[in-house]
Amino acid sequence: MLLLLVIIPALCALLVAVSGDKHESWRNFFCLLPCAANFVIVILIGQMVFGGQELVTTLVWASPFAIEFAANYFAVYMGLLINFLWLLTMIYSFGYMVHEHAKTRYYTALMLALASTMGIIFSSNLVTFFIFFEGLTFSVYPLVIHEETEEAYQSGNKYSVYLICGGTMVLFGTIAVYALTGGTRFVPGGIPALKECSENILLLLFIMFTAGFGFKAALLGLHSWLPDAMIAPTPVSAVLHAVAVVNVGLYGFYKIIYTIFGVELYQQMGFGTYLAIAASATIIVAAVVALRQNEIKRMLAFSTVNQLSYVLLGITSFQFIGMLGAMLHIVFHSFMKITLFYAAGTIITQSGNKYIGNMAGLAKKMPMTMLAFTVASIGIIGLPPVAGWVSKWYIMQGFLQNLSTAHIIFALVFILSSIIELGYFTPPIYLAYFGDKEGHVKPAKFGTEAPWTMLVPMLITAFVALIFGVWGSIPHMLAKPALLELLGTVVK
Amino acid sequence: MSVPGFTESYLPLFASILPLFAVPVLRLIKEENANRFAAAVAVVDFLLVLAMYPAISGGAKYLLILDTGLQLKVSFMADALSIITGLIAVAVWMLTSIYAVEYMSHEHSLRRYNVFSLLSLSGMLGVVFTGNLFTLYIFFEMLSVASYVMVIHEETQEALQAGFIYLFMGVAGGLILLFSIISTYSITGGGELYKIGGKLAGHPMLPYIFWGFIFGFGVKAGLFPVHVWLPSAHPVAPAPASALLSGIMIKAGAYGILRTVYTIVGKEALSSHHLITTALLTLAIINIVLGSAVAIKQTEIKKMLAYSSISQIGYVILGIALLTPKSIMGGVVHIFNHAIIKGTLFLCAGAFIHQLGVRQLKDLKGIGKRMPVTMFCFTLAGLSMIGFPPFNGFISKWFLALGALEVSKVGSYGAGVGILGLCVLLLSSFMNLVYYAPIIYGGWFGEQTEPGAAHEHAVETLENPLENADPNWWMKGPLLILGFATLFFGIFFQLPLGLAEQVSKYFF
Repeated sequence: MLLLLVIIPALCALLVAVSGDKHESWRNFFCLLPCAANFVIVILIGQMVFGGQELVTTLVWASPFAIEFAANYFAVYMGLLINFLWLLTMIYSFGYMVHEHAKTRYYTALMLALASTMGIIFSSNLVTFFIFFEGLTFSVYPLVIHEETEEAYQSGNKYSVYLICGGTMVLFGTIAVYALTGGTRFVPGGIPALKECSENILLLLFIMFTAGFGFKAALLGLHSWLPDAMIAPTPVSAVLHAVAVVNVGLYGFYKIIYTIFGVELYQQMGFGTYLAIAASATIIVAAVVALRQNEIKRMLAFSTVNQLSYVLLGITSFQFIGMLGAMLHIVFHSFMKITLFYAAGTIITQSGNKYIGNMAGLAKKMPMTMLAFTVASIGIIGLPPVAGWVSKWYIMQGFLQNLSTAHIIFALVFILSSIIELGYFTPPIYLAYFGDKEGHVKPAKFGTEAPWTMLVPMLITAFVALIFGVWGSIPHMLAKPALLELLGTVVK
Repeated sequence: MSVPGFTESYLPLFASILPLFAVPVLRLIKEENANRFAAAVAVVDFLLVLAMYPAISGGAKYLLILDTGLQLKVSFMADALSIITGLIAVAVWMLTSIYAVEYMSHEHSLRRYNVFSLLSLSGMLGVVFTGNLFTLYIFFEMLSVASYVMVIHEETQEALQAGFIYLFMGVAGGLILLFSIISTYSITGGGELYKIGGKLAGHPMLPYIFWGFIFGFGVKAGLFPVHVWLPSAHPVAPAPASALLSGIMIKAGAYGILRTVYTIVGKEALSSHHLITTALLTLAIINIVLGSAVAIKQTEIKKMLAYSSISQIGYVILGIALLTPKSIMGGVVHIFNHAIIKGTLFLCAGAFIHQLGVRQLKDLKGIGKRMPVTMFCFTLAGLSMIGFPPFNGFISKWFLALGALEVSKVGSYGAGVGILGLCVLLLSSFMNLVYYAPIIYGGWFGEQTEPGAAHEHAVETLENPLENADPNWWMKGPLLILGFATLFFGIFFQLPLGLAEQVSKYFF
C-alpha cells in the first residue's frame, strides 16, 4: 500500500511521457490520476494509522540499504497536505501552461517529483529518505530551467549546486549515523545509541544535517537558490518552492530533531539555541529583503524563506504548544503561500506583468484573484481570522511559557516579523485596490479574470486557509498525535 | 460548561456575530439598498443587545464558552461594563446607519462601505462581549482592519495616506497586544476574563505586560503618544464613519484599557506600582490638555472634533487611572456619554457638509438660520461637551471630580494627584468652552458669509440664502434623537449610572 504512493506517480510519469503532446487528454488524465489516487490512499492509510494498525513495507538489498517505508501520523499529515495541493496545482497548471512549450517534459518532471516526495515522507530510515531526497532534487531541475533562457540555466546551475551540496551533507550525516549506531532507522524520541557519542561528533552531525536540510528549508545564507528558482513556471514555484521542496527540508529537520537526536539530547547539547538563532536571523533578514523586492514572485520567495524559519523557530521552543504551532504552521503556510503563488501566476499570465509597481488598479479587473491574494496575505502577516495567526500564537505562547530573556526575544521576533510583513504585503494590495487614482503609476493595461482552472484552485486554498483560522479541528486532529508520536509518547 | 455566578446565554455571541452573517446576505442585495440593509441589521443587533440589558442591570452575568478545535477556547461574556459599552455602541451605530441611508446615498462603492461597516460593528461588539483575551484579539484585529476600509472610503490621496498610517499603527498595536495576551496566557494558564484577576500580581513581567496592553489598546483609543493617526484618519472618513470612529471605536480601546487595569492586571497588583499608575495618569492628563489645546487651533470642523476626541478619551483614562470607585464610575459613564455627544457632533458636521458643503469653521457663521435643527443639535452636544448642567457631559465630569476628591483624601501623594486631577478637569472645561462656545455663538448670531465659494459639493444649491437647508428626516431623525439624548441622559442619568455603579461595585 505504501509502495503504491511512489509507484503510481512514477508509473504515471512514464505514461505522461509516452502520451506526449499528441494525446493531450490522456496526458492530462495521467497527471490528475496519481494525485487523486494518492490522496485517497493517504486517507485510507490515515484510517489504518488511527485504527492502530502498523504499516511497514521493506525492500531489502543489503542490510544498510534497506528501502523501508512506514506509515505514521506525521507522514499522513504531510501526505494529505502535499497530495491535496498537488492535485489543485495540476488543475491550475492546465490553465497556466496553455501557451507554454515542452509540456510533456514539464508534466513528467512534476510526476517524478511527486513520487520522490511521497518516498521521502513515508520513508522510515535515513537511507530511503536520502535516496528520494536526491530524487526530488533531480526531478525539479528540468522544471527550474523550463524557460530555457540564459537566466533560467543560470538559476538551474545555482539550484543544482546548492541542493546537491545539501544532499551531500545529508549523505555524510547518514553514513555517520550508520557508522555510529549501526542503523539508520528513525526512532521516535531519538536513537538511543547516539547518546553515548562524544560531543564533538554530535556537533558535527548537527552541523551536517542542519546545513544539509538548511539548503532545502532555506536557512539564511543557504537560501539564495530559492528566489532565483522563481524563474520556473508559477505552478512549480507554487507546489515545489512553497510546498513540497521546502516542506521536505522542514520534514528533514523534524526527522533529525525528533527521531535521530531526540528532543532531549538536542536540547541538552544546546543545538536548539543555535538553530533558534539561525532561524531568527533568517526571519528578520528575509523579511527585510522581501520589503525591497519589486518582482511579485521574488517577494513571495523571500516571504517563504521567512515563513519556513517560523517553523524551525517554533520547534526550538521545545514546549508542546510551541511545537504544535510549528507543525500546524507547515500546513497553514502551505495553503496561504500556494494561494499567493497561484494569484501571482494568474496576475503574470493575465496581465503580462510581474512587478508589484505595475499592479495598480488590478483589483477592478481581477477581483477574485485579488481577493484570494488579500486573504492569503492577511494570513501570512498573521492577522485573524486567516490561519497564520493560530500557529504564530501557539509558537509565541511556547516561547513565553518560561519567560527567560532569550525566550522573550525569540517571541518578539514574531512581532517584528509581522510588522515587516505588513510592510511588504500592503503595497501590492493597496496598489491593486486604490492605485489607479491620480498620482500613482498608470494602471495595468491588460488583465481579465483568469479561466476557472486557475481560479478554482486559488479560491479553494484561500478558503481553506480562512477556515483553518477559525475552526481548526482537522489539522489539530492530526498534528497533535503526530507530535506526540514524534516525541516518543505513546498515542492512545 | 457552566461557571458559578454566570448564566449561560447565547445572546452575547449572537449580538457579536449577527453583522458577520449579514455580510454574505449583503452580496445578494442591490447596491442602492445596501445602506438600508446595514441599518436594518444594526437595528436588529440593537434589539439583541437591549434584550440583555434587563437581566444584566439586575445583576446577572452571561458567559458562554465554546470549543473550537483549537488549543484555545472561544468565549463570550456580558457584564455591566460590556453592556454599557455595547449598548451605547450599537445604539449610536444604529442611528448612524439610519443617518447614512441618506448621507451615503450619493456615494460610490456602497456595498464595500457597508460590508466593512458591518464587519466593524461585529468587531466592536465582539471586543466588548468577549469572555477571554483570545476572542478579544480576533475581534480587535477585525475591527482594525475593517475600519481601515471605512477610513479610506473617499479614496482621495489624503484619505489613503491617513488610512495607511491608521492601518499600520492599528496592526502594530494589535501585535504588541498579542505579545501581552500570550504572556498572560502563559503566566496565568488561560485568558478567561472572569478568573484571570490578580494572577499577574508580583510577576516580574507585570510592567511589560501592562504597558503592552495599554499601548496595544491605546493605539485604538488615541492615547498619547500613539494617537498620531487619529487626527488625520477620523476627519477624512465620510461623516457617519467619522462619527463611528470617533464616538464608538475609540471606546474599544478605552474599554480594553479599563479591562486591563481592573480585570486583567487588577488594581491590587497595580497598587504596589506607583510609577505605573502615575505614568498612566500623566498620559491621561497630556491627552486631555494636548487634545484641547490643538483643537483650539483647528480651522476645519471635523479635524477639531477629532482633536476634541483625543481630549475626551483622556477623561475616560483619567477616570480609570485614578483608581477610586467614583472615578471609575465617571470614566465608564463618560464612555457612554461621549459616544452620544461626539456622535451628534460628527453627524452635525456631516449634515453641514452634505447640505451646504461647509467644512471650515469660519463658514459656520450664521448657519443656524439656514439649518436650525442641525445647529440646534450641535448646540445641545456642544454645551454638553463643555460640561454644562443639565447635560450628560456634566454627569461624567461630576463623577470624575468626585473621584479626584476621593483620591485626595489618601495621603500626600493622593492629595497631589487629586488636586491636579481637579485642576485639569477645570482647565479642560474652560478650553472646551473656548472652542465650542464661539461656534455655537457664531452659528446662531454670526453674519452669514458669502454662499458659493465653499459650497461646490453641496447637494442643495439654493438660490435664496435664507431658505431652510436642513437635511431630510433620514438624517434629521437620528440627529434629533442623539441631540436630545445628551439632555435626556443628563437629567435621567439612572440608566448609565446604574450600570456604572455595578461596574464600580464589582471592581471595589
